Amino acid sequence: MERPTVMEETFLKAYDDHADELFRHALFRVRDRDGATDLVQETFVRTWNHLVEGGTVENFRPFLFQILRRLLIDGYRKKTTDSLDALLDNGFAPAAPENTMRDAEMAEVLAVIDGMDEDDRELLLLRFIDGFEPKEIAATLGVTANVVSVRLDRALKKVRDRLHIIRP
Amino acid sequence: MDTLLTQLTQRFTRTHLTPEERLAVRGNILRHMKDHPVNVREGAGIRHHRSQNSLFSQLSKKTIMMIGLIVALLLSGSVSYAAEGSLPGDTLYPIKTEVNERVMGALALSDEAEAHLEAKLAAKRLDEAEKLAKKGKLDAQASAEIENRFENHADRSKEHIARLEAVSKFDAAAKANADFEAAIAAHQAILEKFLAQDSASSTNPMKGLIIEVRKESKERGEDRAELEFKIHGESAVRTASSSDVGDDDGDDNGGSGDREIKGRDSLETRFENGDIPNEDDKRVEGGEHDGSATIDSSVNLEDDGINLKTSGKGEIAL
Repeated sequence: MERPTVMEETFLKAYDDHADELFRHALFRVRDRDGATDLVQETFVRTWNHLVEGGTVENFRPFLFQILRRLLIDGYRKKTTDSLDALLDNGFAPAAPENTMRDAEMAEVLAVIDGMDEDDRELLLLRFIDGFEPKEIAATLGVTANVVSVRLDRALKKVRDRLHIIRP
Repeated sequence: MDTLLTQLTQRFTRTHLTPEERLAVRGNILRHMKDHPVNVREGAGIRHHRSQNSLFSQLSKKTIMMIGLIVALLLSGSVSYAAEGSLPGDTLYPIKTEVNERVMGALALSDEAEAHLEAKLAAKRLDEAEKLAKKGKLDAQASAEIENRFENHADRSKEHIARLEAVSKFDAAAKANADFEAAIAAHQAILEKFLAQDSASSTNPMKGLIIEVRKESKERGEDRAELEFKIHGESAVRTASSSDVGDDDGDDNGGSGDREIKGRDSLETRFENGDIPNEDDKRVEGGEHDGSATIDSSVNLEDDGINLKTSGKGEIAL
């Protein structure tokens, strides 16, 4: 391409702006750095194809997450053999010395979240890792904001309950 | 617990692609973008890549635009229908010109079709001017808008004709040129009448528009001669021209009566303009016709498009 068009520029800016958070989400889901990187790439490739085919994207962030989510549903789900250790090995939360205690706590939280079912994990991830508002999650999942709030409450309760079991 | 989650969030935001990963993925995406440029329509597959040729890329651009516009049309179907009869100054007029007519443009895929459309739209603009003038509503602003749009249609029509010429489609170019000339001829006569009725006022708002229409009409006449020359060569043009005059003398002239009647409007117009192309030519050919015979050398409203005929409006006296 000789001179980037407005669409190309906008698209590349979307990559620069959102690649990291998509990677984070993907890494949490697939527990594999290479797999997560592939997913990010695939997400942008599909988004580009969508644009080339004449589609429009009003707001890149939810759109990209939507695509990533579909990719995950289509078979990029985490392999059951992958463990939390693998996740940590793959670059989550590299420990700085002053954070050692907190890291232990976080590892617990992670372990709990890790043990939850896929839907809850996705919900917690979208809310607390990706920072989406319930309304935005609702749009991504195709349910009402109310449903999202209820499900989030339940998921959080589960996390609390299990944390108490680990650490009464 | 929620605090922990918040901390978790904060911690995770530090998780990111390494600069190398980031760059590698960006490079792959850029390569994909290059292989699948915007003007190449892609199927659902990600990997497959169709080769592009100029026609194909042209089509796809159109298609993309068309889809968008058709969606806009569907969303506002009844609005766009209602807009069709709107005039400059009406709320719906922009819908007519920006949505309806752009959809038509998107649907016209060849230069021939586009040129034909531009001729139609140019005539439409003049029709709007007439309607407004009849209502006494053709103010300076509306007239300027129409003039501007008319000019755009004329320019685009010329672009398409030039493109047809560039690929040696002289017949199609001549037809498109004649299309345009014919489309504006009758309107020009009517507008001239409006102007004449109001000759007292030196600031008639439609003056600019009429000057533009006259200019176009003159240019199209000249272009027609030029295109005819390109199609047949000079001698062929002369032959055709002289044999037609001969025809008019004869009896079996079924088709031309129609042509003469249709041509009359613009003929008179041309006289008002003092612009009679090929007059000299005809004097030579016609010989000693009586001085009062009027001559229409210019307009052909029929679709065959190419006409350098000299046909006497009155009988040419020999």
